[in-house]
Amino acid sequence: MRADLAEQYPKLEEITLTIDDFFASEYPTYFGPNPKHPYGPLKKSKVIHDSLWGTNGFDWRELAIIDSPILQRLRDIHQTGLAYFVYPCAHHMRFEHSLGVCVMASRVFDALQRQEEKKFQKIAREVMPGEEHLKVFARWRSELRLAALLHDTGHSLHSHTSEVVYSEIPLLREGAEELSEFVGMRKGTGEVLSFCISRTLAIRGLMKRVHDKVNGSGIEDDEIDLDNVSLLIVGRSKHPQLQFLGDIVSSDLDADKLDYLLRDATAAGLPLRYDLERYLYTVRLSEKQMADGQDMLQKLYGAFGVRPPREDHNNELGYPFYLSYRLQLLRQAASTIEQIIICKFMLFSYIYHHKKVRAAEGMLARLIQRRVRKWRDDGKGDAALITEFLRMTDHALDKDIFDLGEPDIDEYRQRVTTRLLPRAVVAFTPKTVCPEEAKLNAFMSELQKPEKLNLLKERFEAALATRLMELRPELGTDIEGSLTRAGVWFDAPKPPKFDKLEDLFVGDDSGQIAITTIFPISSWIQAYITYRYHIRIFSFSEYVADVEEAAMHACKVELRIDDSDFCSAITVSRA
Amino acid sequence: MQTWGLQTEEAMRAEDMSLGDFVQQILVQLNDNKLYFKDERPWHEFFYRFKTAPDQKGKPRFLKALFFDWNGPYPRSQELSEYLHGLHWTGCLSAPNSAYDSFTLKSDVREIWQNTEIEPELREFLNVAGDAARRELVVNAR
Repeated sequence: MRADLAEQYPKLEEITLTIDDFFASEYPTYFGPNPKHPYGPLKKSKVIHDSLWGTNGFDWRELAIIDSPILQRLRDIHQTGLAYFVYPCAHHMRFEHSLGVCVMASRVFDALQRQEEKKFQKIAREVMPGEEHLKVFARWRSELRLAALLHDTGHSLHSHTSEVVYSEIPLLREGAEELSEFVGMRKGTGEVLSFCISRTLAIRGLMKRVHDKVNGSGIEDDEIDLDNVSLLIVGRSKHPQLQFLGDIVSSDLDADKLDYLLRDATAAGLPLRYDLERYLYTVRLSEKQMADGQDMLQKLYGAFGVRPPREDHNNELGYPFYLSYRLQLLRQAASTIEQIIICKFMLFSYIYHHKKVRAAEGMLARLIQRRVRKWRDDGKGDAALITEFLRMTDHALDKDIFDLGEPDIDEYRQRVTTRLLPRAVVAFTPKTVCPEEAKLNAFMSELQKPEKLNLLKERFEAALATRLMELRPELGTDIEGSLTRAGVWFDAPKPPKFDKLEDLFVGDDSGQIAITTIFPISSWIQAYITYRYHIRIFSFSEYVADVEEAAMHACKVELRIDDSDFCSAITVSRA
Repeated sequence: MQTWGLQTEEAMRAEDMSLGDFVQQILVQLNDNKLYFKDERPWHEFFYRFKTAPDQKGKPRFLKALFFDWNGPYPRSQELSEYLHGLHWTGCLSAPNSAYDSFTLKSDVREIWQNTEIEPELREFLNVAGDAARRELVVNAR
């Protein structure tokens, strides 16, 4: 029985129903009224070999998910988008990443069960009194692995590139607000889709069918709670004592990171590593307070009929709180955390923020935005758009779906598929040589205000286009059209997020120390972003010289910096 | 009014002010004081208290919508945390200590931000917030 969220979270319900309708019509033999797959008899388990994690077993329930179209579509979604234009071997897909996260999640779980046996038993007594502990642990493990398998199912073509466009769909934005309210943590539009997919009747029906098929077949059937699987995907759990399971799927030290850091680096051919064995050797459970000042957690647990004891006499900070178990590493793992953080920095520097990767993904994002606009013009609403994104995988670029009949933007498709990428014409960082450094700092700080970012980009681009159209009259007289034809945009990527590091502790029950007191992480972040994070202006090669001049004009107008040294410093060499 | 790159003729109103604008105006009032940085808790609690305080004249609209995570011993706003870090790496704040325990606002950045014109009711609210910030956000003031 699925917990009913329809009344309090209507947008989440609407998205879930939309996905269910899509699955039923797109994959009728799996999710239609008379599904015939999975076709029995079912195997108890199978082994799958992974280039990173070796040979691993998957049980019948996991195989049902893996073999279904919900996970199979991830075989055609590149994990690192168009990064293979720069790193030709980075052709790994979301599919193998999802299997990898599943493997990593259970390795972390197994290490915890081994190293924290008493705490596991204590939690089982409190959360599931009277039940056999080993069965309870097996159930937690199954739920955890399913959540890991399903955590990325909301992705569409080229992963994070299409996710950029998700935030322009109001239903998904509203869904993200409801999800944040529901779980008491800020969640994004991408997570909404994975969460809602896990709540579909399609998944529940599939689980019931495979359960019925194995029932009586001699395969051991341990019941699982799919509501908990959905919560784990977004880093929560049905009970505060089980919060560590949510941490394994989604937190600063989660299984997702353990897989993608190594998978992305290995696929790209970058010699980045962290010490997984030490991580597993030192991972522990730590009892911590989760404050609940707005009663969000009480409401969350209540939605699933769970009433864990809440300390209403308030903690020393003045809030009612739950006692929870959280994922933590011993102090001996400080170097491992250091490696993980450095790996993340390096991946941003080498791959995600590489100028050619940004150029390719920027073009693709504009192409997808135009596709969405055309769907809107054709009368498609938000639900229909969500359906289109679930239908699309990377091969959509080769299909008619991107024949928009608009020469300017159709050229983008051709350029993306043939790697005819724009060039970075202008690039600056907060430390670019500038006689009026404060103006540059203040301008860049304005870009950190989410509600002003697009407006500032548009203003800069408009100032640039105004000058560019004077220099190149053949580009036309409208701002958007001229920018599109010249392949020009203002690129301000999101910097890597390390904003929860001060909450990261190492140690054990006898003493804990914040990781920020061991490493000067703040100075690392500043050093990275100051020298490696670039704001860029891109342009097609044939307009580079004129775009450069127009960009200097825009700097004078919008940054109010008029200095030849600054102009020289931000000009990207064409040699 | 002059907020960077978004010049208009009108003074900033409570309904237009963003989280970032608010942080800037608080920082302007705190002059050269050293402020908490590595320990963000005072900042999150400061904003949470203003969010949950009864409505009053001049209270910026963004405060009502500001979201706080409940995932630790105190409420925590991801938006606030990201913006504070953003101010640091964009060079608006400097950390005059090797441990990055605290920071101060750069004087030439302050000069730019303090030119912002602000409506009287909002100014009054900001003054109250500024007094609270001096008590709660300045290192060793608590």
